[in-house]
Amino acid sequence: MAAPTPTTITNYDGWRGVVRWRAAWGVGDDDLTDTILVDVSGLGPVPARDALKIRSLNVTMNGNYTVNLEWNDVAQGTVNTTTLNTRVTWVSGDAFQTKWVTDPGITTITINGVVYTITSVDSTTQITLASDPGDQTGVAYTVDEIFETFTGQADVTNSYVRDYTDGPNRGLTPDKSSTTRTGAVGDILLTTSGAASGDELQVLLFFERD
Amino acid sequence: MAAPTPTTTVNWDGIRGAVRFRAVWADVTNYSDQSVVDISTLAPAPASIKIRSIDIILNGDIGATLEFDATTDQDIDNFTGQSDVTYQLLRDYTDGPNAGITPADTAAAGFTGDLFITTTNVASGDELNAYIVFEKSS
Repeated sequence: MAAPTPTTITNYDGWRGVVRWRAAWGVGDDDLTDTILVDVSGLGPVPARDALKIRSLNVTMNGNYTVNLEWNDVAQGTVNTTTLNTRVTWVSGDAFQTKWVTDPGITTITINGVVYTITSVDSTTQITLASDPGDQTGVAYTVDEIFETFTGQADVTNSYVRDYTDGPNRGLTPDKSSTTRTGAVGDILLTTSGAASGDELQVLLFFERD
Repeated sequence: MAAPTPTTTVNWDGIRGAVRFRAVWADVTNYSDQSVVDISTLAPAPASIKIRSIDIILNGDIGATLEFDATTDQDIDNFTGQSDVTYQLLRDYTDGPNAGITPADTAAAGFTGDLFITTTNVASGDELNAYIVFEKSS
């Protein structure tokens, strides 16, 4: 089965924008993985450096599942991988950040199109994975930054509201220590886990060019 | 058993800051003075901070106390959840004196001004998700 097809309505005036997004799961539907909430390249005019900040968030969850909201590709480059000790070695592009797993919440890495769970970031040039990536040389890597995680509940509808406008920069931005933003895509993504038939997810997200 | 390793993200512009903090329990080990904001790591580091607002989501029958670190920690606020229910609790302190909750005594013994969290009564499956806005305290 496939994941549900969401309804997405985006308004953008060149400075500030809002997206209204909704998905409902049917029988046998799968979770959503890196589904685009805001496609920066689809905004007109496209913000400088593809950079957005999030002003506020309203997430309504009906069902016992988890949703991660993510910045897309906050760091990227090329790596070598080895079966030995399931290690990844940095080659070029954005270096790894040893704090990634707990701050800001970069727990997976996509290597050559395959998503792997990060066990540990051992140094700025070495990551250990939870599974074997095989032996690969000079392949592309990207990481997404999870900026919020919400969990729902069976037989209950929860609505979570987060207002970031009182914080620094009057909005939430990606962790800028992770990326030079060179070539980074500032899309906002959504991934669910544990969603089941009858569950619903609704997001109202206000953003602004950064 | 060990308390969960939280995900902690701090943004700081030299005057105002925000922290996103999330933990999910796999057992019943509580936090005792778990660091939420270590002000010595902020650049530039303030002498102390005040809390402008707290947005906390509790999933489970958890007690959560936020404190400023000192030999005798200084209470900021307390929150309590409930079994089988998720609560989002919001506190905005900006309309009060000092536009925020300031430490009771920055000259107290052992005062570091760090923001700590202590929990009680956690159980496996419980979650805590907080977004806290703070500011340099003059």
